[in-house]
Order: sequence, then C-alpha cells, then structure tokens
Amino acid sequence: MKSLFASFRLSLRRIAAIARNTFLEAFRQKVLNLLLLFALVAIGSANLFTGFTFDEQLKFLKDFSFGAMTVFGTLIAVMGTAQTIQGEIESRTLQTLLVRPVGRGEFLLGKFGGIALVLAAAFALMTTVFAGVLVVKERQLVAAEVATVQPGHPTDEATAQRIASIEKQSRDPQLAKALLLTGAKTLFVAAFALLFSTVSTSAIFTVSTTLLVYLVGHLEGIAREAWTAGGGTWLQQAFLGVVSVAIPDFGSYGILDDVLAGTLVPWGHVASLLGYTLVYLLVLFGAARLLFDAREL
Amino acid sequence: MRGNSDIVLGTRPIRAVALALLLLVVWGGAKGFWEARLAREGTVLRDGGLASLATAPVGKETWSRLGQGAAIGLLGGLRAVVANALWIAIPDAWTDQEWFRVASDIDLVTTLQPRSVSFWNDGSWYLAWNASQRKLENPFERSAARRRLDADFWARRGEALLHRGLEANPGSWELWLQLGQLEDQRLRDPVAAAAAWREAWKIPGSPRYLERFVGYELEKAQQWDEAYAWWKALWLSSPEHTDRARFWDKIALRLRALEDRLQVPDEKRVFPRTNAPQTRAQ
Repeated sequence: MKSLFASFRLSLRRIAAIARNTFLEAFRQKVLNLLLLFALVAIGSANLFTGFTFDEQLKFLKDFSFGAMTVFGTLIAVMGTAQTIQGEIESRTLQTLLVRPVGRGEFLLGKFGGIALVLAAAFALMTTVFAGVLVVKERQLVAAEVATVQPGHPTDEATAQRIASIEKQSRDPQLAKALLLTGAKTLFVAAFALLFSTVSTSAIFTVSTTLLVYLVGHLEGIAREAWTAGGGTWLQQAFLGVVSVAIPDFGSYGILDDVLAGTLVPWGHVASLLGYTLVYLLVLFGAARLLFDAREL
Repeated sequence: MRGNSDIVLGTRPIRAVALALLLLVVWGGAKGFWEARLAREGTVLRDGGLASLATAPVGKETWSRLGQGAAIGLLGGLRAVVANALWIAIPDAWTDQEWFRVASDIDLVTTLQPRSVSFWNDGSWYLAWNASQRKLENPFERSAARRRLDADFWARRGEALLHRGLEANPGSWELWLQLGQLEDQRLRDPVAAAAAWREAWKIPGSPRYLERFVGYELEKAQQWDEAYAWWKALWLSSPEHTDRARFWDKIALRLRALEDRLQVPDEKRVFPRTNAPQTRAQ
C-alpha cells in the first residue's frame, strides 16, 4: 500500500510536457477538427431564424449555439480522450514513455490537461463565433425596430422598450455563467472517458460507455428521487440504487436552459455546481489513477 | 487477468482495483446529498413557488408524445433545443389549420420550458387570435352562433394558456399585458382587462402607458367611481406634471371629464370649475 501511494508523486514539468503534446496532437486529428468545423457552422447558422419575434430569434440563437457547444464539446471531449490514451497504448509509445521517469499518474494528468486545453481552445473559438453572430443579430433586430420609427419623430415608448429588451437579452452577463457551466460539463464527461480509458482496450468501448453514462446521467435525478422515495420491487430498488450511486447527475446542468431563458441564477448556485463537478473530477481521477496502476501494459 | 476483449485489468495490485471501486462507491453514496440540494435549488430558481409545474421530471404523458429523437435530446440535456425545434414546427400545423395540433404542441413546448415567456405569449396569440379568428370566419360553418362559440372556445384556450404562463412566471408583465389585450379586444371584458393591466403596471419595468390603459378600461366598463379614483391617484402620484412620457394632458382630460360626469363638488375636485387650469394638487 505504501508503494501505491508513493507512486502519486508528480512532476508539473512532465505533466505540462505531456499536456502540450496531447494538445498539439489532438489538433492534427481530422475528426476533431471536423467536429469543431461542424460546431462553428451550426453556431453561425443559428442566425438564420428570421421569421419569428425578436424574443424567439434571440432565444433560438442562444439555445442552438449552446446546444452545438454542448454536443460538439462533448464529442470532442469523449473522442479526444478515448483516442489519445488508446492511441498511446496501441502504438506502444506509452511503454516508451513509462520507462522514462514518468509516472502513470503524471501520464493521466498530462493527457487530461491536454484535453482540457483542447476544449478551452475549442470553446474560445466557438464563443468568438457565437459572440460575433450575436452582435450581428442584435444590430439587425435594433435596426429593424428603428426603421419602424417615422423620420423626425421621437422613438415611442413601446419601440424604445423593445430595443432595450433586445440589447438586454444580447448583452446578458449571465451568458458567462452558461459558458462556464457548458465547459465544466464537457470536462466532466472527459474525466469519465479518462476513467474508462484506463480499463478499456478499444476507443469505441470508451466512447460508447462514456456516452451511455452521459445519457443516463440526465435521468439520474429521477432515479435518485424514486430510490429515496422507496416502493417497487427489490430488483427495481436495486437498479435505481446502482444508477443513483454509480452515475453522476448531469440533469443539474439543466439550469443552463434557465440561464439562457433569462432566469436569474445566482453565482452561489453556479459555484455549488462547479464545486460538485470539481470534487467528482478528483474522485474520477483518483479512481482512474488506481485502475491504470493495476493495468497490465 | 483479461476479462473480455474490451476490458483489461492486471493481476498485480488487486488492492488498487478494490480501492478504486471503494472510492467510487463511497463518493457515490455521499454525492446524493449534494445532488439533492442542487436539484432543490434548481427547482426553486426555475419555478419559485411552482415547483411541480416545471421541475425536471418529465411526465409519462409527455414522454409518450415525444418522438425518439426528442427523447434523446432531453436525455442529452438539450431540452431547450428540443422545445425550439418543436416550436419552429408549429407554423406548419398553423398553416394547415390543425388547431388542436397547434394547442397540443404549445402545451408540450411550454411543459418543456415553462420559464420561457415568449412561448406562452406567442402561443396564446396562436390560439386566442389566429385560431379564434379563423373559426369566426369559417366558410364551412353556416351557423353564425356556432362560429361564435368556436371562436370563443379558442379565445378561452388562449386565455387559459396565459393564466398558466402567469403561474409559472408571476413576474412577467409581458404576459399580463397580453392577457389585458386579449380580455379587451377579443373577449370584450374591460373589467378583466383593467385588472390584468393593473397587474402588469405593478411590475417594475413595465411600460408606463399601462397606467392610462387601466383608466380607459375602467371607463369602458362604466365603473366611473373606480375610474375617477384611478385617474386621481395617478395625478396625485407626482407633484410634477412635466414628464411628457406620462402624457399628463391626457390624464387631466379624463379627470376633468369624470369630475363633470360624477358632479364632484368643487372642494374635492382636482380641477375646480372656478379656476380651471390650476389644480389643488399642484
């Protein structure tokens, strides 16, 4: 047991080197670049809904953009993590790496850090495109409202109110919270992919298992409620208990929709959700580290 | 030991595997409290006192009405995207004049996103105005009484939708404003319109013209005393009557008219007959 914990000593320099390498390698992969391209196209095309009220147009733009960020961010996280670890194992470069003074924990942390960098870069790019589209949309909508005012006449109260509403919705500071939560959610999924990568022998297995956890995670809240409420057969209770214990509650990130819909979500709640994610990440990393240590390479 | 072709674990530190599983199970047991708290907070944020209407669990009825793709969207946390996609499809049903399909889709969308005011607002417009007017002008219905009944049915459905929307979004002046318009112009109920606009007026950020709308509606309902009390309260609410955006001239006009109609004694008038332009309030 002593030797087990002794192997937890980490070198930041080595972790950073692995992370940098993972980051550069990820951007050489066509699949990830293609996913990013799709995401950017999806966000750009969210501006095309024009036959609706300004409220709906802004809502669609924000919802579809963040939807694209969530979907493509998740896919990049899962596929990137699965591929990078499995790739090292299959190409036998991992053995070369581990005979140097690089610990398995450092390797995992470096890989995870690299994927985090990939996600940060992808989100920076997607956010830039989203912000650009949002600015264009705001200008279009405001111009349309201004055009309804007759030249030489002052802007009436209703029009002024609509313009103020457009500007308020476009420049909503809560979008920062939505962005933070979307990023955290994708990182959370990447951590699960990391965990499964440590025991899996194929990238497909890691991808499918992680996506399964992701999907079931959105129903964990319902399972937990039913489990704690009791009732049903012992088999049903056992099933619900396993789901509640083994799966994270991705449904809590549903608050994202409310942030985008304009509900005032306090920073306290966001911090609580991020704290939950952080603790879960540490647990997942700890388990991944232990499992990876147990693995024959 | 090799378990199967997808999973591989070494024989060496079986303790490490046991420890990893223990870590996951212990955390799995403890995390429930945090998750329950997050869910509770989320519910309050989402609905305030109306948790049951919009909390995350999607009812069996809703599940059965969603297609497979939509269900996957919900599972993937794309509730808003699914709601938007369903909403975008509503004009097709609207064009085909399948009003029950329109109503059903609106119910579904508002169930998915009860805090989205525009869904309630525009949904009520589809039902109370579009559907109602089409029924009123239905060329295939000979009976005028029947057409009137059908039109009224859809107007009431739009009204009910707004009331549900207001339950979910009590702070939305937009929905009260829309309800007032519906009561005034479609259901011809000026008392209800005045009440709705008064509620809208109470909410910070609502348009200032609503204060005048309330007075006009009370007069339309021939509630002269209430109307006079309303206009008078408005006039006395400000020592200055120079803000052009509040249209004090119109308020003064209504006050004078009502003081004449109600034969208010000079000492109680805002605009005494003897010195007309000057007011006691000023």
